[in-house]
Amino acid sequence: MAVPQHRHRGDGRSEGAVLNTLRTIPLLLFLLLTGCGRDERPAAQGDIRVTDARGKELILSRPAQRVVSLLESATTAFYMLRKEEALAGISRNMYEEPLLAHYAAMDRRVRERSLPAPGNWDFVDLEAVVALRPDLVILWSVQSDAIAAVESHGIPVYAVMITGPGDIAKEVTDLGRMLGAEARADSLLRFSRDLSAQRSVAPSDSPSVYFSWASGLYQTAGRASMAGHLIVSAGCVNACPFPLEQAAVNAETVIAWDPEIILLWPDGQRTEHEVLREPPLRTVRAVKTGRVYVLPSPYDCDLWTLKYHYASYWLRRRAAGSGVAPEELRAFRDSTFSLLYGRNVR
Amino acid sequence: MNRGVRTILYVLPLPVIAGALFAGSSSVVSAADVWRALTEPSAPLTDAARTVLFDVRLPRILLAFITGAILSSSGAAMQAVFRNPLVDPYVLGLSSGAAFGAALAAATGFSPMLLPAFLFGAGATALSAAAASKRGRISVVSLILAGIVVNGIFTAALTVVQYMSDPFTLQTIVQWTMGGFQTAGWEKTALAAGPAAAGAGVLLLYRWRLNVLAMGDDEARSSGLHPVREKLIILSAAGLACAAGVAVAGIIGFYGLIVPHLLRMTAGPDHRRLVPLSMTAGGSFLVLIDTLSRTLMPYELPIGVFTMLLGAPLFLLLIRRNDAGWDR
Repeated sequence: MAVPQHRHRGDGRSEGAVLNTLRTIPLLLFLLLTGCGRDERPAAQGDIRVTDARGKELILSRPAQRVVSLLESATTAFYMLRKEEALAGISRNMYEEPLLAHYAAMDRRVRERSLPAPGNWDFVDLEAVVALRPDLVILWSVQSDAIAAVESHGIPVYAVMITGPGDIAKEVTDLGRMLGAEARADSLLRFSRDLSAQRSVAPSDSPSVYFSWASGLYQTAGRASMAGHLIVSAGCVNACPFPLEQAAVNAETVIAWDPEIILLWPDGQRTEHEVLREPPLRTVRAVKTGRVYVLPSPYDCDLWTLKYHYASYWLRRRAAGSGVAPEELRAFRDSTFSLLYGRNVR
Repeated sequence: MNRGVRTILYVLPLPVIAGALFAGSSSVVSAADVWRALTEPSAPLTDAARTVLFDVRLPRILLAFITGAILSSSGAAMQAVFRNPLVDPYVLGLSSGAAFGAALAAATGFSPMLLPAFLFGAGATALSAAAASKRGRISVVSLILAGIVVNGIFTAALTVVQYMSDPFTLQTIVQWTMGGFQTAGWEKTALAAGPAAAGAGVLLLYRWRLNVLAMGDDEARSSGLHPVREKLIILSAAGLACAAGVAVAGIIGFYGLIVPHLLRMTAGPDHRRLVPLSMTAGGSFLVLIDTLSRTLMPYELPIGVFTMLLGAPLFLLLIRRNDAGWDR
């Protein structure tokens, strides 16, 4: 018996292939309708839409009520927005000194250690995060594995990356929208702009500043970094000309740059005296004139939050050359932080 | 090996060290300044130029040389003691012990990183040797296995410290483990020089015994040697010197594995020549690599990048040619 000829003339496709194609259409429709995940559903009127540092759009149907924020710098924005009650989980680092004292003073749950801490900027306890049933998780954008793992559970993730003051403003705006605190976010950003405007007149002689990170005296901040922005915002010039976030240099390079100020990130271990005694740097202007400074505490000078204004003011006053009264710095810090946090934080 | 090539390798440190003085990341010192300083020590130089030349470049070059010399000569000695071409100075847990010590110091601030790195590095090596010794005997297999276990313990402990560290401390730890001579100065050079000289002295004195030990314990005994004692002396000397090198320069991976093989291919497997050549050529090669890492870009590049990029292709070529001397 002859085998029936199923092949169409002309296009060469079999009936079986056509049937297979037809069968896949409902499947594709099903995937389109159901397979997008909670954060990728079609937007509706009144939805909250923000785009995170990855360029991914997040759509929330209502302000987030249970947020796990594993970045201390983003979490501090919750306190500034007066939305700390929306926190369902925080960074483990916030239960360590010197941060603990500050947050314990502002939040009873931190004081009583009842607010879960299922990870931090580096390690994420996925089971603990999922168990908290958050409606939003905040992570660094570089934590790509953790982001993918959290999102695989249908939990939206807002990824953060701060490389300049514009990113901080965007983060505050986005968090304000996602937490239903737009007015407070606007007010914070207005205050931030006012603080920037107060510093708009640069000192007549802009001193060059060499910034040293905690990871080593010769680990410096390039111009594409928050520390680089800090230096410029204080009316100074970054001695490091590289358009990098961070750069490893050596003593010879620092001698060649000959900065007028050396600024150390506060790691709780280094002191000005160690740099002043560093033999290779004895010919550098900053060492000769004793203009080596350690920034105040990392909490006060958190460069990845609106608090960078305090670090900027602090450096500007140092760069001015005249002596700075500690009372003056403390008064500026207290008044600024009270306005930023919306409460007395002396 | 050609006598002329051997002579060149022996005197290589002089031109390499002198040449490296001319290379730098800035124009604070001109080539003319360096030449004047070398040929006419009383020549006037600016303060900055004098500092760069004598307090920045010179101690860094010497420290790179010392570290390269002890890593490569210790690697050669350990490959003979273990009778295993895959061994390097880190096989007994030195690098992970030192990294743990440095990380602990960075995280707690109880001490500068240098001393704990040295103590934990040397301690890890001693622990491996102690764990492998049984009734006065040490088998090579037990020693390597003990080294793997000790390595694992300190790596796990290092992970715990990293897990508990804040971002800045973690960055410090990572920077340290990457290795390099960015913070070299006379203080570090002086600290490394003592243990390095002691270790190098022992290895030079014992270099002919390495030939006997490389043939096996029975052959060593029949030659009148006490293999366990000889091995412990050599391992202690190499471990002490390398712990000092790692403490001041961090972990420079694969150097103590690759360079002895390269030299064995060039000079043959006789340790009477291989050990001193490892010191002179191994030290010189690391000076050249460090010079690249500090001058190729306006900022520093991790030295481990160059040791691998330059050493690994040569090493692979050597494996392809099967000419490392182990089949002779």
